[in-house]
Amino acid sequence: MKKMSFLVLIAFALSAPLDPAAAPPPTQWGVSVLEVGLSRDALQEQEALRDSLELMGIPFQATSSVEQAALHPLMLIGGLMLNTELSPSDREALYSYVERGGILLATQVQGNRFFPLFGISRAETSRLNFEVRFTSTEDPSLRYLNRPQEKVISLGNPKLYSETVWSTEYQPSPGADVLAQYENGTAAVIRYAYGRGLTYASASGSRKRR
Amino acid sequence: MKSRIPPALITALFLGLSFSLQSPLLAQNSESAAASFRDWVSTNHRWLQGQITPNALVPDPDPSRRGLVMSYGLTPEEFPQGFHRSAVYDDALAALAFLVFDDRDRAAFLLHALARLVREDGSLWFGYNTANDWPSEADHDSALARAGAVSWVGYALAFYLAHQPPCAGDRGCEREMAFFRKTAVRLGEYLLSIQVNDAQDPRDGLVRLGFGQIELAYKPDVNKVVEIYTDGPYPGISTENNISAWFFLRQLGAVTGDARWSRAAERVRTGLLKSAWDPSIDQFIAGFHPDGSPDSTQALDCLSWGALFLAAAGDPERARRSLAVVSSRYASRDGKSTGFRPYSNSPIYQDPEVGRFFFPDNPRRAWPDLPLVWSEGTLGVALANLKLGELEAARRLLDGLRPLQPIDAGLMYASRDLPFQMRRAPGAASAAWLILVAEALSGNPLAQEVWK
Repeated sequence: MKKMSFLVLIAFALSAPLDPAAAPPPTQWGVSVLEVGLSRDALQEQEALRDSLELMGIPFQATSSVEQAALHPLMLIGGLMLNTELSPSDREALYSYVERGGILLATQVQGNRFFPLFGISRAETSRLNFEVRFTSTEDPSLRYLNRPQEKVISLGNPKLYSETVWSTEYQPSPGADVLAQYENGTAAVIRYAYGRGLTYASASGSRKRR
Repeated sequence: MKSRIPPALITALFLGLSFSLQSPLLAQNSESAAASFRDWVSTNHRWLQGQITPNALVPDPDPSRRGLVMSYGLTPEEFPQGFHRSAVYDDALAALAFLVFDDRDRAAFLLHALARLVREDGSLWFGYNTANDWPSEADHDSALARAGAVSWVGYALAFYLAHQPPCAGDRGCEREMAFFRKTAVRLGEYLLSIQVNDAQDPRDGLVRLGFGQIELAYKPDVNKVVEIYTDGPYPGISTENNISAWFFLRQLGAVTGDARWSRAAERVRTGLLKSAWDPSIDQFIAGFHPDGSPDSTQALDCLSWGALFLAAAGDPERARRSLAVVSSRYASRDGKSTGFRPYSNSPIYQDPEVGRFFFPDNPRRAWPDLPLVWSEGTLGVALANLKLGELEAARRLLDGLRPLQPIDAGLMYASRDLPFQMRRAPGAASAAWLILVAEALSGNPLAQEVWK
């Protein structure tokens, strides 16, 4: 599980600086981590995301302020995107950030107030997805997933377990690109152009599963 | 945002300079007149910006509707169900107004908000609530789709594309351009899907109205006038809608280089000139009823937009003939405001029972009996005057609307309320029209390109 998030984050984080013109000016260069939520799950997500970035040697600024996070051209969300997590004005700031050219990567987008930003029409959680397969070859962020072993990621062994880790299944809105799917065909990673920016919604979080 | 010297300021400086050679007093008057004109436009621009959601009245819009312009400056108390509604025609006009005011980002983001709402068949609903998700595919009771509104949105997109500087490697800009182009094509395809294709039919080439119809009816059991909604394609034809469609399809053809759109525009042009022009009254009729019979209602927009169409289509003489009769047919005064009313001689409410409810003493009360000045329509005439070189006439029409300008809001849509028809309230459409006309009058080259 961690491996999948790890690889996806590498791809997204590294590809973002190659699209500098899309960033909203003026910005501080690099990556921000917007830490969303104070629940145990959210805090674990945030810690895991920071660990992953440190492990990869990607400098970042972690903050719970949307305004601060929006100064960077690439923003990663640490935590679950639930409707209750951001105030209307912070949510609007997030929409505006992407609209003006920012790139936003979030995992587990489950609150419908965020759906239009990510090109999602529905999201459901499941413990029955055992595999994520990257199907798109067009998105530049996926160019580092260039070996067959990297394109299919196991979330568990269905021969050993009847259920595995939680994952989020997305129903894409018209105009959204599905980058990865589960074995049942539902979307696991979605890319969407909102205004002048881009959003990526990934199916599962960064934290370690014990 | 880039810095910009408003054309009105250039005009003011120029006028000031030329008059100063003759008379200091004249120069002072001219400068103050130009400054006052500039302030008027700026007030409307500022107000339009504030109508974009989220704002003070709708701080947390439905996320699929954020970025749309609320059509009227009404409080929730004044219009609980609809104060937050956004008509896509108003949005398209506002986008054009922002663009000509060099407020490009705001224009672009408004166009994005519209483009995200385009339906699977390529149409848009006529209006969208911003505080909730009505209309949706699951609930569109009383919602309409109209070729004219679709055309204005398409025109705003195509106009933006036609006047966009090169992206110079900016991927966000490139994505934006591709998205706008694709959306404009989808809107164009919707129009083609409702175009009459029958060489034997006099309406051949014209586009139908769209989807849904609302008629007013009096309900004696509750003593109210209600809207009766018909859910389904509406086959009637509106001249006004077709004029909008022609401008859009022609602009789309120019932007894409695809002859399909130019051919479609040509078919609309031919249909209008062949079947909708009435030489006995020197203007276009309102359109055609669903059964194909002509609707001979004399509507101001069919005259003013008709003149704009004729001028752009290369028949300025006929446009002038039309404009020559506008005052005798539509002129109106309400208090200190002067301008035009929307119809010439027809009853205000077609259904006498409805008319009786609102005008018990005169159920067949006609438009000439009502001292109502319609700002939006008057500005359409002003633009037609301007396109035909009648600058002084255009300026006079603008002056006649000044009494309808509140201190710090948008221009009133009309001089008085008329249930189900007109609102005396700051209107996005009237504010945007004012900006477009005033900027064109001030020599703004981009404003002068609109509906040229």
